[in-house]
Parts: sequence; structure tokens; C-alpha cells
Amino acid sequence: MLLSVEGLKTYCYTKGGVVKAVDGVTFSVNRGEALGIVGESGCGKSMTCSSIVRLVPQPAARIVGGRILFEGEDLIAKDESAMRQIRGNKISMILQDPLMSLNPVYTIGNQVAETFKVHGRRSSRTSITREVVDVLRRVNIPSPEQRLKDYPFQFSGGMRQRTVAAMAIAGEPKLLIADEPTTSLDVTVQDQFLRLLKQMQDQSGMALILVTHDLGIVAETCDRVAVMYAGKIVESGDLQGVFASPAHPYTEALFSALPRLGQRGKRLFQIKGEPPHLLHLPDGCAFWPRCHKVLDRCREDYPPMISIHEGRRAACWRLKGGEA
Amino acid sequence: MESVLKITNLFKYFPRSSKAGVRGQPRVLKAVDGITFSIERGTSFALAGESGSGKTTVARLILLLEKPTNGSLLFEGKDLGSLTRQDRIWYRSQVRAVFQDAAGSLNPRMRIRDIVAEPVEIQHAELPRQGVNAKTEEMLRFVGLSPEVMKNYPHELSGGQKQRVAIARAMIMNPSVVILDEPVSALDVSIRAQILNLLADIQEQLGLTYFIIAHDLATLCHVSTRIGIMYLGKIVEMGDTDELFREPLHPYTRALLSAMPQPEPGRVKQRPSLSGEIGSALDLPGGCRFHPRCIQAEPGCREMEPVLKETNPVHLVACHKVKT
Amino acid sequence: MAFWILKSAMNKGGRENTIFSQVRELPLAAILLLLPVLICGIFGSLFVPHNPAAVNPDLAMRPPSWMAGEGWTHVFGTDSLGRDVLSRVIAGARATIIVSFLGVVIAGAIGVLLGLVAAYFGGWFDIIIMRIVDIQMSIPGTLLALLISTSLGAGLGTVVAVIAIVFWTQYARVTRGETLSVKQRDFVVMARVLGSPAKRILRRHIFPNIIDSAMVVATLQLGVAVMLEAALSFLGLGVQPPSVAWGKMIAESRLYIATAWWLPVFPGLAIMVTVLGANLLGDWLRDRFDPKLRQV
Repeated sequence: MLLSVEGLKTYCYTKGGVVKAVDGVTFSVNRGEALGIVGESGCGKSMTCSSIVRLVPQPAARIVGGRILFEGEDLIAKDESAMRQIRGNKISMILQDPLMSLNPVYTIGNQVAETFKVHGRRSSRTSITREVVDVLRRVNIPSPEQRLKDYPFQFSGGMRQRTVAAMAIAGEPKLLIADEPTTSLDVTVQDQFLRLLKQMQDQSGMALILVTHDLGIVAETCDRVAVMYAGKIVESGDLQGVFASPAHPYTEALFSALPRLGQRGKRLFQIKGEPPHLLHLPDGCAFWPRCHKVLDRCREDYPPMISIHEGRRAACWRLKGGEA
Repeated sequence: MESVLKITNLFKYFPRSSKAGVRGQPRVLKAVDGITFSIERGTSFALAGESGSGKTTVARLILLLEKPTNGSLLFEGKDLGSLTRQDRIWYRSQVRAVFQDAAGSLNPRMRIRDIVAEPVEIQHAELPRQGVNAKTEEMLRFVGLSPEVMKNYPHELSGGQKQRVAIARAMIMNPSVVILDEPVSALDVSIRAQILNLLADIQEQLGLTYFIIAHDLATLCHVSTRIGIMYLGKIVEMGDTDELFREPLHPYTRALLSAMPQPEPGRVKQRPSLSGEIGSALDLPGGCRFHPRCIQAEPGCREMEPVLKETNPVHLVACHKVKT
Repeated sequence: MAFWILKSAMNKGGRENTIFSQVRELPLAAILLLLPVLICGIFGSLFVPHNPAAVNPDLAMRPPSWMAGEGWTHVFGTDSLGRDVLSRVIAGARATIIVSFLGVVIAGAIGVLLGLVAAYFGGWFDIIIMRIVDIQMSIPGTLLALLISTSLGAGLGTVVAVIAIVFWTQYARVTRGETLSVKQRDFVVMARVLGSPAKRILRRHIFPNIIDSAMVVATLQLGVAVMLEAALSFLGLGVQPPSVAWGKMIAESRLYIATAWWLPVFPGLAIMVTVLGANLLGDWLRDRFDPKLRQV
């Protein structure tokens, strides 16, 4: 097991109250495996990623509980200089918008070289350049030697994101966290990028956490999946299992509500209501106002995580033996 | 059935003043490079494509936000290029729009009541205030909102509610055509189904004609009767939705369908469906504009541009390799 | 019209709604500094201890009375003509307020209007207006002020005109930038799609969304306007006797700085308080309206 997050709690302190962005999240990632974290806006998936690399926007938000065990050591207990060693070297992250991730006033070559320098590679300029070209080639940027002097605006969206990926793997991390990396890309470019991620995993054996709202992306890239809602994980398990028979009503509803090819004219299954505002969560299970299978118990108590079988868990009262 | 909207040989070129192109000629962005289609009353026609395809420009041309470089646009038989002032006002009341970003399309300084009532105040200025209020209330109820929101400001509503407001504004006083520009792509996944169902219901109840622009084929498949696939300014394939998705003929359409992530674990995908980056409408390749990325390209594809031809009365393709 | 502008600015769209939360956030320091100035300017004549114009040769050049153990008769002392300095400071607030507020408001009206027109209609409007702005901004402000006042002659009206003419360009620049960006936003495009005439778009959609930045410019300029007024008065180009102005008071005390320190110091403090208050208000407004600082 490479990463084990146990009961992670990250809260945001706002004028309106405490927002429990991440409220007791537990999951793990093994070496070389790809975990997909699925959820909508506000479910806490991005904040979970920021928490793992300890880049939570303080002082408004803070990690207030839990442990993040990476290679056996608790990241929460580490100080900032220790975390700086880990970021980029052991754990790396890519964000959604590549235009924001790249500095518009420096060339591509300069920025990628910077990552190498930051990781303490004390080498000559020529050898760093060689490494830069090498890593750009690994992310399938054509003729990298000629593109070193280009600026980000001269690159297409897909190439920018690949450059960001190159910068992320420059330090040969063991774990790569990708937070909605393809949301701003066109679908054919997205396809290329996801294949690239798989390729990077195959080449280096690195683990991947892929955060997305798109179940299709998860199906094609991940081995295991965790579904988040209102700051908590509501279901997790192996890909095949969760997709074949989702245990939590939210997961089930998400699948049913997806428009599919070849279903023209039929009315879509719709989930009633809206994703909850984290400052006004209902009592009991956060999903009950929208749940098509709600029970009385759901309105009062939050269901615990129940083990269905090997590796599969879901937090729903309907799963508690005999309550269906 | 008659056509409500008839587009013939539409061109829109944007001159780009910066440095001269390859052969010392001034550069021109050929956003729309000769397209022809018509929309029949009561149906939904969609233009699908990735960035640079020109679909947004087509919408802007129909909304009279741009003037075509060449070609004709006919609405109910009237030529949009030569409208009198009276005609224009009438046109504006008949053809409305819903944009992608609901938050951006609502003036943050205006109350919901004023936002939804605006079309009435502009186009039907003779209606007394009470009448306007009544119509506004009716419309809000129609889209599933309580009339209480009339006094709110946009930032007080959720994403889904904002989009409903935008829809109410577009449908008030019964237009005949509504242009929908990526109506659900900025919304949370769990609400998309609600809005799609709402749009379908409204279309049926008011007998509307929809012109939809989107990049997500699954959504389009669900809501449109006919689809045109655009690439770099031209329609490369067009036909009835069911037929097109059952038997996609153009390599680009096939690539799009293959690249779309499907929530089916273990789906076998075509080996890289496309190579390279999406081209630029500033620098179109000779011959078929898709040939640099096409896996089936032949020498002939570099010479001559293929023309949209019928394979059967409801299906047209522009590809040298497809027998018509 | 003025009410409507104020209404636009107070519009709660985009901001928190409760009275309590808004009071909590008020810029206390700025208000504490500016309120006395405002009160003096508007109601000063009601509570001046002495007639500011009353000449009294026997009482000339007296230091502040509480320092000489004489009680509170002349809290700020008297000047070379025996006039009570405190009363003159209070009276001087009026000129300051009228000139700086009025000047800044007129500059704002001209600048915002031209900036809107330049940005919204573009083309020749934009080119011509922005060239005028560029040309004018390359002339040093003080020089411009001098040229205008000497040609129009001294007086309150002149100072207002000077401020309006020197300051409108900044509004035009800022408003133009904001308008260009608001013009692109979807809700403005939508208004065009609905067939809204340009006047309506400018009034309902553009103006309320750019007025914030204009207000920030206004408050920051208040301080500069006060100083400009003081400088003009110092040079004798501002208000004329019997009207009182702080700048003039400092000018008149030039010869006595070493011997009668209270003559330049108190009007100088008054200027400082006003300018500081205006700047703090401007800073607060800017922070409040900065969209990047808005809560997610």
C-alpha cells in the first residue's frame, strides 16, 4: 500500500460558518494502481487532493483530523520543509487548467528545466536540457528540441497539459494526483491525454489518483473507484463491481441519469433537487432529500461505511443486513 | 414540413492583421467555410464539433451578432441580410438564446424578475407592468422555479436555478426558435438530466424549434433529431441522429465516437483514433482539411476537398473514401 | 439622476445582504476622520466660536489660549489680523468640501461618460477620446492647473473647473477598461440578442457594473483634489477673501512659521486629516469591490 488516507478531515472557516469540505474520508492507493475519485462540484474531491499534498489554502481552510500515511509515514505530522521534499519528488499533482498552471512569461523549456533544478539536480545546462527534451518526448510532444523556446500561448491546450504532465513526472514521483486534468480539453485531445497517463503509469509503475466528474473517464482509466458526496465517500471498490452493480443510491442515480448513445427521445432518469450547500447539510444522510430509496432512518442518522464484500464498501442504511 | 431556418453556403472569414502568412498573404481565419443546412419546424438540429470547428460562429451569425462574409440565412423565408428595422425587432422576438455559462449570462446587478422580464420590456413595450409581472411569474413556474425568486439576485441561486432562469428568459412570450449553446455542459452531472428533460418538455408544450451547439455527443444524441458534425469550418457529416450514430461514415465522426469516454469498463477502443492536434482555421491544409489526422488518408485526399454528398436521403458525408 | 447613481452603487447584487454584516465591515478610521470635516463643512457656521472674518488688532498673534493658561477662548490661537484660527479652520472646511467633492464628481461624470462611449462604440470615438486623454495626461497636472486658473481668474468656481479638467482623464481610462471587459460578458451579449437598444444596454447592463471602479477612483482622487485646492489657494488662485481656505491660511502664515507655529500647523493638520480619511476610504472601497477577493 503506497498511500493510506484515514479519516481525513479538512474544514474551511468562512464568514457563514464551518464548511466541512472533507469530513472523515478513508481510502488507499496501492503501488502502480489507478484510483478514480468521482463526484460533483463541492463534494470535496479537490480539497482531498490539496490535503494530501498539504497545499490547503490557509488560514481559511485547515486539516483538522485524520492521517495521511504515505510509504508508512504520516504526512500531516511533517513540517513544511519535509513536505517540499515530497512534493514533485514523491507525490506530484496536475490541475485542471493548463493555462493557469504555466507561467505565460517564461518559455516552455525554461519552466520544465526549472522543475529539474528545483529537485536539486545539480547538473550542467546541457544535461538539464537533455533531460527536458527527454521528458517532453516521453509525453509525446513532437520535435521537443525545437519547441523549447516556445511560450505557453504558442502551444495548443492538449500540448500545454502534456507539458504540465511532463513537469509533474520530472521528479519521478511514486504517486501522481490529477485533478480534473481533461475537463478543459476537447474530447479527442482528452482521449490522447488519458492514454498518455496510462502510458506513464506503465512506464514508471507510478500510482495515479484521477479526480473527475465523468464516469466514462473513470471506466477507461482506473482500477478502483471512490464516489464522493458532500465531503464524504459514499461508495468505493473495484471498477467492475461498482459499475456493474452500484450499491449506493447516489452512484446508481448517477449512472441512470447519464445520457447514452442510442437512447434518443426517452426521458432521462433525473435526480431530484440539487447538490447540497455544505453550510446547510440535512440531518442524517446527506443524500436523503434526493434519494429515490430513502428510509426513515436515513433522515436521522448518517449511515456508517458498510463492507459489502472484498474491497467494496458503501455508506447506506439499505445495506445493513435485513433493512432493505 | 417547412424549414424555419435555412442556411445556404454560409461563409465567415475573420481577417487577422498580424504578420503575413506563409506566402506573404494576409492571414484569414476561415471560421465558417461554406456550410448548408436547414432546420424544420418543431425539430432539434445540432451542430457538434470541437474547438475551432466554427459551430459557435454559426450561432453568432444566426443571432445577428456577426455579419456573414458570404451566403444566405433565411428565417421563415425572410433574408436575414436585408431586414428592415421592424423585421429586426420581430426577429429578435422569434429567435432567442440560452448560453453555456448561466452565471455569466445573468446580470449580477439585476433581480431575477427584471432579468426574465427583459425580453418583454424590450420587444413588447406596450404591455403594462402588471401584465409583465404576470407573464414573468408564469414563466418562472413553467421552468420549475417558485415565483419567490423574482426578488433575488443571481448570486443567491444555485447553478441549476440560474440556468432555469436563463431558460425562462429565452422562452418568455413564446419565440419560435431557441439557440442552445452548450446548455448543460457547465452544470453538475446530477442536474443535467433535469435540465435536459425540462428542455424536452418545453419544446413539446410550446412547439419550439431548437438549434443546439455542443461537443458532447451523448447529450446531443439524446436531444436532437438531426446532427451535423463540423470540423474546421465545414460540415463533414450530417444526418438523422439515429442513423448517424448507428452508422458513422466519416473518419472524424468515427474518431469522435471512439474517443468519447463511455461508462463501460473493459470497452475495447480503436487503437489511437486520431493523430496530431486539432488543426487551425488560420492555416488550413490543402485538400480535405481533415487529412493530416486521418488514419485512412490517401494521396488523393491531399489534392481535392471532398464535397458533402448524400449516401441516402437522410445522411450526407464529405469524404473521398465513402461511396455515395 | 444622482439618486439613480447612488442607487446603482448601493445595489446589493453580488454582495452580502444583511445590514449587520455591512455595518461590521465599515471603514471606521476613514469615517472618524472624514465625518468631522463633513460636519464642519456643512454646519460649520452654526457652531464657530467666533466670526472667522472678524478682525481684531488687539488680539493679534496670540498662541493657543490653553497653552498660555487663558482657558478656551482661542483654542487654535489668532492670526496676524486677530482672527480666531479655530473658526477659520472650521470655515475653511466648506471650501475644501465643495471644491473637492464637486470637482471630483464633475470630473467623474465627464470621464465616465467619455470612457463608456469610447469603449462601447469603439472606432473613431475610441481613437479620438483616448488620444485626447493621452495628450492631456502628458501635461503636468500642476502646470495645467496654473494655466487654467490664470486664464479663468481666481475663485471657487475656477478651482472646481481646474479639478474637473485635470482629473477626468483617469476616470475615462479606468471606465474604458472596465467597459471593454463587461461588454464581452454573456449578459451583455444576451441583451444585444434580445434587441436591446444601445442606450438601454449602457444604462442597465454596463453602467451598474462599472460604477464600482469609478467610485474607487473618486475616493482616491479626493485626497489629491484637496491638496490641489490647497496648492492653488496657496498661490492665491483659489478662493478669495472673505472666503476662507486652508491653503490660503498656510500661505498667509509663511512669514510667521518660526514665530507663530500655530498659524500653519492647524490648517495643515486639517488638510492631512481630510486627505488621510479620503485615502483610507478609497483603499477600503477598492478592497471591497475587488472581485478577486470575493469569497468562493
